[in-house]
Amino acid sequence: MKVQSVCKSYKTNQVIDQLSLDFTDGEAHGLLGANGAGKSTLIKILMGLVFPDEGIVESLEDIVLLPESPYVPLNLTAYQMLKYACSVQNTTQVETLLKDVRLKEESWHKPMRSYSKGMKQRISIALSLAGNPKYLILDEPMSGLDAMGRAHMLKLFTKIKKQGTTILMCSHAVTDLVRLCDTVHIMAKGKVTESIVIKEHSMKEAEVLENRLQFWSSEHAMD
Amino acid sequence: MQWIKLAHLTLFELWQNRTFKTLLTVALLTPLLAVGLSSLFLYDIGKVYVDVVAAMAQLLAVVFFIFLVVTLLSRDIFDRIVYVFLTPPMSRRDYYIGRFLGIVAVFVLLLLVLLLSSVLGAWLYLDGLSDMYQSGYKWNYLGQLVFFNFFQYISILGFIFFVVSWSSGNAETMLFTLAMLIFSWIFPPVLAALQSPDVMKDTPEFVVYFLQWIYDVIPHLRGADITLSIAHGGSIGYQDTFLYVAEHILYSVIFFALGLAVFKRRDL
Repeated sequence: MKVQSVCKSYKTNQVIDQLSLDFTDGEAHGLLGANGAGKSTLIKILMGLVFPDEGIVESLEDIVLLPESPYVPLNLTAYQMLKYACSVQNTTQVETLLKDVRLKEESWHKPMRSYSKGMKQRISIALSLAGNPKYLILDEPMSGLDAMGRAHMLKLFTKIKKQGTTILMCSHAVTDLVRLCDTVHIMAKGKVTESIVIKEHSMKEAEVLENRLQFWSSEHAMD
Repeated sequence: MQWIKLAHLTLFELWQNRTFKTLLTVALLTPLLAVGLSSLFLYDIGKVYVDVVAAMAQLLAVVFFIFLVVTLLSRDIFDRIVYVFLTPPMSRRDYYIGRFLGIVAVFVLLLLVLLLSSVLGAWLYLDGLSDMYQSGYKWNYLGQLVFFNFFQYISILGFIFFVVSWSSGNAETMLFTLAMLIFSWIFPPVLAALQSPDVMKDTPEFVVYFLQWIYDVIPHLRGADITLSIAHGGSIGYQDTFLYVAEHILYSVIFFALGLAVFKRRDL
């Protein structure tokens, strides 16, 4: 997964500015930045949902996105939607996935319009895991989840990483990034300003990340 | 062939929609309405029955496309549900084709329910009446109505896919689709009226040619003339039927292809 000299602007607003990044296979990478830093746009460019104005993006066959908000068709049941996703990916692990994300069995066959935000997030995670993708992009994967749900999903993502999936996680929760990722890239004003290697996955490293984020988010940092 | 899977899912998605279930119920109850209204007349009962079914077919189709289809596609694109679908190996082309065919399948289902319930109603109600009251009703009128209605709205569906590919939201898509419907209902009859011999005799020749040209080129999406003709016992020849079907399929394909070309290049 690689981008080279990518630029993207919406009218006069330059969102991504000459960005180059190489994501090592089999590792978990984090994207950290203030609102408007260009994280979501970079993710959409990697997924082919947004086209860059300039630059090269290595298009991937086996890549899946877990979007920022749980976007699901509300009239379908979780089981129907997951069955569809599994059929597209040529797998049959519907029930295993629903159990993996701990979606209560009594809600499997209910329309998703009756789901809470957390339940929708769980089904979104299950959808993104259908077919065991080689590359997994997570955009704020913990939003809407309670503390127990967050801990469980972190364990699940760690397990997937150990199975060889390359993960790119975008989050404002620094502790989640430190727990899962091997490298965290800090973004500001459409550029990757710093890449920090996470060795111990400790709270101390989370504090360092927060300090660096504050520095790069300050107005004069880019000068 | 990923589009087949999405077409199948679309069928389920619309089937489980409450508005669609309401439309199905209305389609099932249409014969009752037709019987109720036609029984107010002394003669022409058969004609009124077919007229009511024709009107309901139009109404159901308009509600289906404006409120269900436009909302479904708008939610997909503007509420970003499309992100879930556009995961490799599903391409944007597969998504467009799958959604289109799924919607067509559901529309066929709605029209079939209307047709079967209306034929059954006519069989129970009109069969017992003498020919004078039936006013020339034949069982195949209802089939023809549904057939022509289907192709009329297939062009509208193509147009909706075109609008969704570049519009910026649900309201805009709905506005343009409604505008197209109104345009297709109002404009061709006005142009046809302008070409009547009485009006043409005082019109400059180049204007007549120009009006004729516009009349030939613009989409004739209105099926009201045909349904009225059928209801009143007019027969529609094979050649006219072929031209009608070809015209509507052509418009649908053109709009769909344009929409797909734009959709493939737009940021989502």
